Amino acid sequence: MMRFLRVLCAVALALPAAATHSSLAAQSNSTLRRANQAYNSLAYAEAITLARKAARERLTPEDQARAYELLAFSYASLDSTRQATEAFKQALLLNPDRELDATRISPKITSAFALALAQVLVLRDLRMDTAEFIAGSGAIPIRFTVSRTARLRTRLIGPGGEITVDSALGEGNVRLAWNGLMSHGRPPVRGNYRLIVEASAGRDSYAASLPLRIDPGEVDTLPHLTKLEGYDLLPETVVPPRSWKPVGLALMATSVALGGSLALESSKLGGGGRREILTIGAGTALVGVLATLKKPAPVPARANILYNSLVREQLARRNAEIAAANVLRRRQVKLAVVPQSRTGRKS
Amino acid sequence: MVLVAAVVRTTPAPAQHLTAGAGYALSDYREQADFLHFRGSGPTGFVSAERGRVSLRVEAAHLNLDPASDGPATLESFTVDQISVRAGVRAVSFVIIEAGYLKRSTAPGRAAQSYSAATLGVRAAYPLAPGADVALRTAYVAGTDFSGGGSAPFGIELGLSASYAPGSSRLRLTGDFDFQRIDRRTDQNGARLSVPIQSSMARMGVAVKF
Repeated sequence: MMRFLRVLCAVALALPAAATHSSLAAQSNSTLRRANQAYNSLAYAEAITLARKAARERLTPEDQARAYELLAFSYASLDSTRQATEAFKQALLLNPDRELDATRISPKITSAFALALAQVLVLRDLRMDTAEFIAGSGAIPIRFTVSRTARLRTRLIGPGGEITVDSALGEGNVRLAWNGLMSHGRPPVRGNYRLIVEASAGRDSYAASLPLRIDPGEVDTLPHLTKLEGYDLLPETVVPPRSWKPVGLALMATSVALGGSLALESSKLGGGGRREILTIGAGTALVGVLATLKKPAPVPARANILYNSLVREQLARRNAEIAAANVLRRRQVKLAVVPQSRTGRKS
Repeated sequence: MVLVAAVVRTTPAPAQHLTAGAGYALSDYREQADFLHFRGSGPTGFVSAERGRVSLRVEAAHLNLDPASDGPATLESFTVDQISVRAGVRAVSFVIIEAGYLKRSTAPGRAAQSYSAATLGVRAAYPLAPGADVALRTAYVAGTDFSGGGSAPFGIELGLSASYAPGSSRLRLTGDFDFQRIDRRTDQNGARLSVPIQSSMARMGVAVKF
């Protein structure tokens, strides 16, 4: 039973090393490789010796961080929590974004890692998204995590000058926003910039930086509207339905003329001789019939005219607003911000 | 007057038009008594211009009138040259106030009266359809000056017009009827005689509207 538990414990402790095995195998430093092999063979004392030796050699910051991490893992396996924590602190200072997978790594190790993280002052996960925004009216978020309460000073430095984005106490997840303006109140010129976050707490201090590429450009102007969506102009004239009104009017006019001429005839001169009025009267009646059969003339549709005038007025108002907005947009600068790879350091 | 001026001011201005037409007229003329009855025909023409609310129309006719079959054989034929000028102002949408001048000359002069007169009346023109119009006209005939003397305290004109454009609205068929009655009075040996004049004319023709 005791033998089974020892094997199980050894497997759990070996897992983290296996997780980093592939990356360690790729290292050129032989001491670090041997330390890793010793750890995998559960020879923790040997692994500690070799990892310490590797840490003193000329290594890349990544390899150095891995050497301290192997040291921390080995100390934790030997229940030397204090020494494991110290090793993790060194590893975190070199690689502040390091995370351990709690589902795969022994709690003994992860608790030492958490203890180290609470003691060391580091800035983690400093990020800015690739974004385009209008300088002065928009903003781009800046996110990072500080492991302890510290005074934080966030600056942007580059060829266009410098701006202090924020300076305040902070802890945990910090979210800031930069409005795209430098200290002189104008947008930055094109170039490579650096976002620097400095944290200080007592005697400890830490700084992380993120290189950025900033490209200022013109803001797109809005096109003028030729119509309002969903508000089509209506026909301003409509053809009325066919009616008998023309023939009625023609007959009425003929009747008035005929009746009037009969009534006005002088009794002294006698009657008779109606061919003139009958000729023209018949012609007028015929014109009335033809006009009735003809397609009626379009008449103004007052409601549509009023509606169209309101739509045109609204369209003119919208275009005036767009013109005013475009005047503003022509003075604005659109910034394209592209973050580059990040670096960090302890001071 | 103020009301008319206000109405004129608020009426929308129509377009500018010029119309010229020619045709043939039938005429009936009676004077003094039922036996002085003449009938005839002849060419006619007119020009009218309209600009804004103002219009001007000039009509002319040359008629050959012969005694009607019911008249006595001693009557002689004569010719009539008639010209009338009317100026109008559109008061409301279809109503035009017109003032005009009429001159009618006969030859030989002894056959019938020549006279000139001023007219003042109204004309109501109504569009029946695109290219089809009908109009009624009436006017008071005043200040008549007769070649044979006398005066006319009462005179009236009545008119009916119709026009139709078969195809395009530029060329139109036109028909006009004019009725005129003038109550002429003369003094003969101190006695006042009534010698009325009554004429009617039907003009048919074509017109071109520009």
